[in-house]
Amino acid sequence: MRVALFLAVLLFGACAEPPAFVRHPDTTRLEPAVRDAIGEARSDFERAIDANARDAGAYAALGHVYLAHHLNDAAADCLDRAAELATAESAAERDARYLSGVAHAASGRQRLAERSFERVLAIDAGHNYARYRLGNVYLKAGRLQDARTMLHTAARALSNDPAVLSSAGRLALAEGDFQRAGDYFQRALRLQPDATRLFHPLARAARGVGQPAEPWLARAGDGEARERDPRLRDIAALSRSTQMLLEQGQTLIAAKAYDRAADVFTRATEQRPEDVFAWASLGRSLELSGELDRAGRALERAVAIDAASSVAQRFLGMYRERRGDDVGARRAYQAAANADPEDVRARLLLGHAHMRAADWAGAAVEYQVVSERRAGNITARYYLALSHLAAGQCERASEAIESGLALKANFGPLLEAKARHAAVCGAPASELAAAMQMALALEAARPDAASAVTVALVRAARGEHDEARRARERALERARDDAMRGRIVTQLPADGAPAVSAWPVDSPTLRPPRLTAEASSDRLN
Amino acid sequence: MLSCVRTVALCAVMLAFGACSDNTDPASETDTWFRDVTRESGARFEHENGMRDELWFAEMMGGGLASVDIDNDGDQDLVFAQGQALDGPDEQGVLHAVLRNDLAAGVLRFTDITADAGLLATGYAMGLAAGDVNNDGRVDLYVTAFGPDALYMNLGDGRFERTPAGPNDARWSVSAAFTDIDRDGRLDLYVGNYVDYRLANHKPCRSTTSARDYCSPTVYPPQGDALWRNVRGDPPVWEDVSAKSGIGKPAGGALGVIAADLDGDGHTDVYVANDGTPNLLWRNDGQGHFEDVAALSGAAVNMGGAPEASMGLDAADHDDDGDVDLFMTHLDRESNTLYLNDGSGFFDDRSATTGLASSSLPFTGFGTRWADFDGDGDLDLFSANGAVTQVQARIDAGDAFPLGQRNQLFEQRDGVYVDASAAAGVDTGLDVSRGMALTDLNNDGGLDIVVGNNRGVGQVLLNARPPARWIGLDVRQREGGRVAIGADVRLMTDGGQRVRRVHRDGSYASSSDPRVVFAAVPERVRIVVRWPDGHKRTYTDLALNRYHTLSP
Repeated sequence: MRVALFLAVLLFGACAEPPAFVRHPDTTRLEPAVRDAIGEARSDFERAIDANARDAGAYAALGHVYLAHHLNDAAADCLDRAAELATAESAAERDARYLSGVAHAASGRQRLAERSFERVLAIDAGHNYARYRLGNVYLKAGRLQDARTMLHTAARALSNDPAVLSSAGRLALAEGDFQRAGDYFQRALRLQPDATRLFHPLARAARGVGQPAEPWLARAGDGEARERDPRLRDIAALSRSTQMLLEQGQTLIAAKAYDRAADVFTRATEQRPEDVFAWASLGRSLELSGELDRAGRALERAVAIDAASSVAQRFLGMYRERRGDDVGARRAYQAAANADPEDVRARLLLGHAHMRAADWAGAAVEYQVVSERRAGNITARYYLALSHLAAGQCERASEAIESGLALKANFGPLLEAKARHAAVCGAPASELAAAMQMALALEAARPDAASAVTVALVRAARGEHDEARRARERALERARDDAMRGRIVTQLPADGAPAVSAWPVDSPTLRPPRLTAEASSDRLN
Repeated sequence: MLSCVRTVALCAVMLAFGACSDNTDPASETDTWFRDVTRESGARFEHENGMRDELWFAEMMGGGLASVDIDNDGDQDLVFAQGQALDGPDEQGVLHAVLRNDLAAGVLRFTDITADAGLLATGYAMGLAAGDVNNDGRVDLYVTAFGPDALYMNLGDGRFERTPAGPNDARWSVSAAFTDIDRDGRLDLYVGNYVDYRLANHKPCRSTTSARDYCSPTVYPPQGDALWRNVRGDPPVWEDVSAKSGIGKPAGGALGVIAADLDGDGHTDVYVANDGTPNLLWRNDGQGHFEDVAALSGAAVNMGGAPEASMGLDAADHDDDGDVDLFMTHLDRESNTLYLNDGSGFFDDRSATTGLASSSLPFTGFGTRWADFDGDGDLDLFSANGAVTQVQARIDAGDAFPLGQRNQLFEQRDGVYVDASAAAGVDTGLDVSRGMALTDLNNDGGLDIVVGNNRGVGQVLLNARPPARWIGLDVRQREGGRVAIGADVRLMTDGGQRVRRVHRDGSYASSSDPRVVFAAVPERVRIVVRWPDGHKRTYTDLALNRYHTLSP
């Protein structure tokens, strides 16, 4: 027994200093660029540790690289160690604890995340993103009172972050404070109108205060409230994953940060020069940021790599459309649809291109396919109805309108289409009266050119020529460009007489404003 | 190395004090709620998933099973859905495994009768739904598959025969539920279809770490579900009423399906757990038409408005207030979700306040059931877990199929669920668990668990602490007839009532023992049974600690 005790004491003595344990994640399955980035980071780390085994910065730097590549367990190891080694209560400890909390939370280790964020707040009581994240940890643990302390303060301090407001709203829902929940969600939506998921909890909040939920649900979608934490944005920028870069670029495009998206996609093409999606995405982001020549070159490269890429062909079509090359755009959309018949976005765009070329039947075919492939897609049914209306196919248009309204009874564009249908399809007086009411309500809610055209169409069908003329004038005043004005003039007789078709004057089927007179599709082909 | 040295040192110290041992303390093993009796009971089944390092989507989704009394001898037998090669099925054919329960004097013993049972696979199987479709008192089986599904009629002697006239959806389906939608006395069939994935449209995907990985279901278009009406006859004549009932439109990749009257209007509704898209609540108007009211009723998305990757589900009255609540298992980093029914068919996400949010974040849950596992009168939860994207720690450990996670059991204590996995003894392995069936294999009132592991061995967890006072009910449509799916059973107590539903469906790709067990019951029990046709009967003289067969 004495020998054993001696051995133990001896060995424990050797272990008195905890080993600098850092998990070595297996990187063999990762993208080569990521593997290289991690390899470089590890080499730097080992050199630094050889020089100074207690180098907190070395641990933190490696942790950042792991975190950027979502290797959260290894990141947490490094960052926890960095925090231990940093000067107590320093900014270095605070930052390492914060990011280790993020890594722990991402792996579902809520208790460790909680400890990290609590420590951050002990060091820096003004760290509101730590407060927000800790509030979320408490909320998930059902600790509502603790969550309230954190999230209400965070929501006041970070009142421009929709994700923070959304969390405060969820807490209020959990507490049954529906009025407050509704307020938070509405504020978040004002900051980020495309965060359409928030309409679901808004509906719940409305029901809680005795209001109808349906109007909110009618607007619900799948747009997420995005965080605006600058620290995590910095970490994400360390990523060398082409996959991550592509996803990051998509997020930036969704946030309309086209220049930054183009930078990110440029890095993706550098890492993966033969990746058609990277080149196509670069082309798309450049086109959106207005750099058309560079966009053209990137898209040319994309289709050269893979002419059968539906994404590349689709983006090429959008680029050509932007340059005013309708014929070339239509050809590219057709190529995209041929390459992947399931690419419903390509088929929608092809439908729009057919519409611009007055090929109503061709458009109807594409819209019909999209309606079948995406049975829940209400906009496809709307376009289908428009194509039938434009072709004078009143019965088919009616079917499309009704099937769309069956999906969503209060979908504004379809209600507008229904009013126009009544106007140009010889509806009886009672239906025209209902259409008139609808058209006026729609114009009151959204006073734009399209709603004025609808009113003009219905007025004319009812023989109210003076009112029809006045509505036509309103439409012309509100038209956003000459192309739209031209269509209104063509569609609506100046004397207020009934129109013969209901061509949509202000729908996504119209080409966006032309940025240059040059049509370059021949060169690209 | 250093940690190893330290362990040796620690052991040396402990040895010196006589406390170091390789053996687990036997007392602690018997203290767990469950005992793994897979090996000793002879319940040997190994799932084959046909993987070829191509990361085919379908290969990691299968692993369903059924607990069914195929021979009507009063004990529950087990059927496991078997996979096969995806890129060229075995010419000999693949048989789904049938393990006959030869329970004798309380000793559990299974005999493998796979070769005689005749459940020859028609596609790459995902799971099983069970129901007596021709009302002959023998339970039949529907196998969901990546490829054509198949309905097998029970011949009564341990053998099955596939009926070519049955529902045979060729789309990829995972979970299905037999339920009498139109209250005509015959079981209809709801089939949840997943996504339009074929090896021909297989896409290469990468995880957030950039590693090659399984794809998200959103990469592939969703499929519409199917509703088959059992019209007449024996063998039954089936009519595909998907389109005319309103449920046929593709609205998400369905993984879990359960039929229950969720709004208390007397008609059986269907709840569908979709993977990554809003869930569906098909409200049955009683006239053959269904309307999705999930969004309006608050059961489509979680409290934050986010659709979750719903896999398995169950429907039960978790708080004994007389209505049916919902529970769903989800992807890691999403929490599992409990939707509380307010009694009128409106639901609230109560995951956080019931303790179910944080505890499930590191895990991807599949098969799940509510049951009173500890025999204290309230419902606990089991979650069969296994990831769908590769787990870095398993990759680092050299695992060729690195999706393994431990299973979980949550004990309900005054309305809050506490992770009691270790105490229950259900967290011993790192398997890719998918299917899960609730059952009572030895008829002792203690509810047992059978887990289907993808590319792994099925696991039988016997409840080692059966309740002291219980009552079991086998509710039938008529004497000797089929199980009264859709009936509910109420145990009236001084403080209120406990409601349990008679059902086999729910969980994930699995079918459970439909018998109802109440534990921790009073000395004299009062039971009220309501059959699906509305007929009610009250029982006050049922003996404790045994099963009773009840019919109107």
